[in-house]
Amino acid sequence: MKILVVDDNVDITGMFSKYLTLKGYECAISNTGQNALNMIKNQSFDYVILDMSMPEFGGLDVIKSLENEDLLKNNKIIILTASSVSNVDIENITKKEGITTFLKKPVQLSELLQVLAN
Amino acid sequence: MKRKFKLNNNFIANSIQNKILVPMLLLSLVPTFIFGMIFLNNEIANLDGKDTLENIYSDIIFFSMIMASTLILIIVFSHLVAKGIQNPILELKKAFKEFNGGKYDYIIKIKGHDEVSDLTQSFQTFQEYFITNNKIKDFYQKELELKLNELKKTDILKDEFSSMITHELKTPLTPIRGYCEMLKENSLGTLTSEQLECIETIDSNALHLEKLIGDILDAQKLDMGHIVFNKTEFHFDSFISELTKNIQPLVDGKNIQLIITSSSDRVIFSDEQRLRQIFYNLIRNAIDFVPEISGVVELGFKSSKDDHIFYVKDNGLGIPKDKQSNIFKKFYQVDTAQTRKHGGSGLGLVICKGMVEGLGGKIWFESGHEQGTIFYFSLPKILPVANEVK
Repeated sequence: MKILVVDDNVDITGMFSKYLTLKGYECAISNTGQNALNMIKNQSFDYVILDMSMPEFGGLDVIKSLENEDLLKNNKIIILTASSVSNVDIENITKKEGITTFLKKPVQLSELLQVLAN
Repeated sequence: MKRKFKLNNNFIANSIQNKILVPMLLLSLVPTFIFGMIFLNNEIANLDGKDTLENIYSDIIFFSMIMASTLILIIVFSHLVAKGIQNPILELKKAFKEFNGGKYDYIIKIKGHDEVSDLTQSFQTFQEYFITNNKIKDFYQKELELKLNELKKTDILKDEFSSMITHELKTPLTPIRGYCEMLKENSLGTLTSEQLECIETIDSNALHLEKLIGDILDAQKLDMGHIVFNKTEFHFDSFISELTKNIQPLVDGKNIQLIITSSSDRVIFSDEQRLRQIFYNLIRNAIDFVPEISGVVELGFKSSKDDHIFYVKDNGLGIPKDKQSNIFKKFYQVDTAQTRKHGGSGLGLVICKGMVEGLGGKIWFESGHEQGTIFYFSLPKILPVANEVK
């Protein structure tokens, strides 16, 4: 299973990729939203773990761009949030086709594994 | 705020004119007429020739002319006198009218030293006083508006700042807690018991920090009215058994007895996650304050006609009477030595109160010295609309 982890924090992407690799997943990382968008367009991932708050081009921008090109529904995106986005917004985004669920930072790795296993 | 002074027509001015004109006319015409009559009488008494009738006629004409000119003079004179009194009054009247219309700085030239000029002077003093007061009022009103806008901006900045800060504080916790989790489950190699203990301490402190940040964020959301309650139907029994799993780690290894009295399978329509948070906060509080040797924390519910009433009871020292009124205040902590030992943001009860009230209920407590404390909270017995239809 191939997973893309997107977060502007290198330590977070590093930690996720280490853990997911240990758990037997193939893992790619991106530290900017723009780069992540290109990767999603050019490669296929089973899951994308996407941070909402990133400078310049955030998670929401990635989702909007994918939606505009009608690519959102082809993906399985797990949203990461640190509550800077209000709950209502998150709930509205989660309703969209292509968005699997949202996880609040700091994420419990066991919880993430459960989501991936389902 | 238009003031109304009623000043009817030209009543005063007219009456002045009438009161001067009529008596003056009477006073001057009557003597002229009497004098004329006496003169005419003398003329008739002294009649001696044939041209007397002509003389009498010319005398009558002469006196008539004198009377006519006196009349004109009197009218002109009395009119001038009346004007002299009337004009300042009309001016004052105009000034009042202008004042009513909002022109507060209408200036009247003051002539003479009579009662009307005194009145005008008083009116002008009042005008000046009014204008100065208005200027002061306008100044402070503008100042207030400016300050209010500044405050609003600062408040928005404060909210944005604390939201940003909490986000920034949460971000580093992700890799900290993630690596702790990996190390704890030996994903990165088997740890010695000492290493494991260290990692567990790091993780439990990181978790504590996470909870503190969560509290600040929740209190802030409650303040701003940003909390959205997601109500669903759920069974209280299964809710309690889930909750017990969550709170068990808090009492593990401590001499605390956890009593749960829930026997009925009541269905509740509320926000399950927030209800769990309320219970968790109250229980965490209770655990912090029970005696270390034989602590008892009990939770359950009481029945009521309109509400579900839940309670969390402890056998701690109780809340001193003088501190009871403060416990739902932000950052207030009853026993500083105790809270220092257990930590806490001082926001737990504030959040509970905000959540309970947000869900339509009330929170209260009973406490006595060394008698423990019981926190009660109620939630309305409402059902989802779909169920009511059934």
